[in-house]
Amino acid sequence: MQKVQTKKMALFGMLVALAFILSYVESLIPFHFGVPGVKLGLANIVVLIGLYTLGTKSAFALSIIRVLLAGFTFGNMYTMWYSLAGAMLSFICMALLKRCKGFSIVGVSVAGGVAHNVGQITVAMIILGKNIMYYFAVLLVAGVVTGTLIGIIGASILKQVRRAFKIIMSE
Amino acid sequence: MKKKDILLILVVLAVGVFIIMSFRAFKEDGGQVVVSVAGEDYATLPLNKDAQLEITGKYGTNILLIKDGTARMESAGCPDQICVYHKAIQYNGDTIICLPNQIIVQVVDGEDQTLDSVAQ
Repeated sequence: MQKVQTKKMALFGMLVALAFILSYVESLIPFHFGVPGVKLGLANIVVLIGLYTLGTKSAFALSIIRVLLAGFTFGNMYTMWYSLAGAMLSFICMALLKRCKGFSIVGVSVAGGVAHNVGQITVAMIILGKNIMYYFAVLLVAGVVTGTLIGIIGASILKQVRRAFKIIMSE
Repeated sequence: MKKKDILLILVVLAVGVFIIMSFRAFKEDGGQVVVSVAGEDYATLPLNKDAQLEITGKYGTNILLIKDGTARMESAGCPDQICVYHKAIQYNGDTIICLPNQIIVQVVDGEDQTLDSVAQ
């Protein structure tokens, strides 16, 4: 039993590192839709994998640690609040939707992508004190598109990862 | 992908598109562009109506083009053509300036730019 715990811990650490690196990779890609705030959400692939393999609690920790790490290294305190709000809301929606029957990882990813944008825009509305509903709608659509993409990628990765995890855990 | 996934995608897309469409439909009349030549008012045009305006200055005639709620300089009679390469303007305070011809095109009474570099 203890052996399994140790293995899980190692996997968790690996996923954190992976999420961190993907945040960095994303900051390198000049991926602009012409609207600030729209991004791919590559790191969400790792959070999704964590959610489906390690469970809700570990995946939540994974998500928060990633935001803090990436925020301190590549961003600043100001942008970190946006990310944190986005990540939290995104995670809550993903975890809830995963419990609902009938949704696959793609649906969960879409919910995450959309909720991430909604969380960010809510903080932006509070900080700027302006009504930016139009921008909100644009991000809503963008969240669906990126969420679907990430979900499809995540689904194919999850298939491979699950097999590998089974082998590791049973050893 | 399951049925409910597709349903979720479609519902959120519909909501987003609906908000965007309603914004387009109920958009108030946009701002105006004030054109001045050598410090004197030359013309005032609404941004929401496509138009074309010839402005004659010291070094020739510039053509201001208003299209899709934005204004830009289509051509200029001056040699440096800086104003022609200026991006289209639409928000309050945006200006296109043609120095040789002393033409200033400025947006007034429009909507303020809602986004800034912070929201990245």
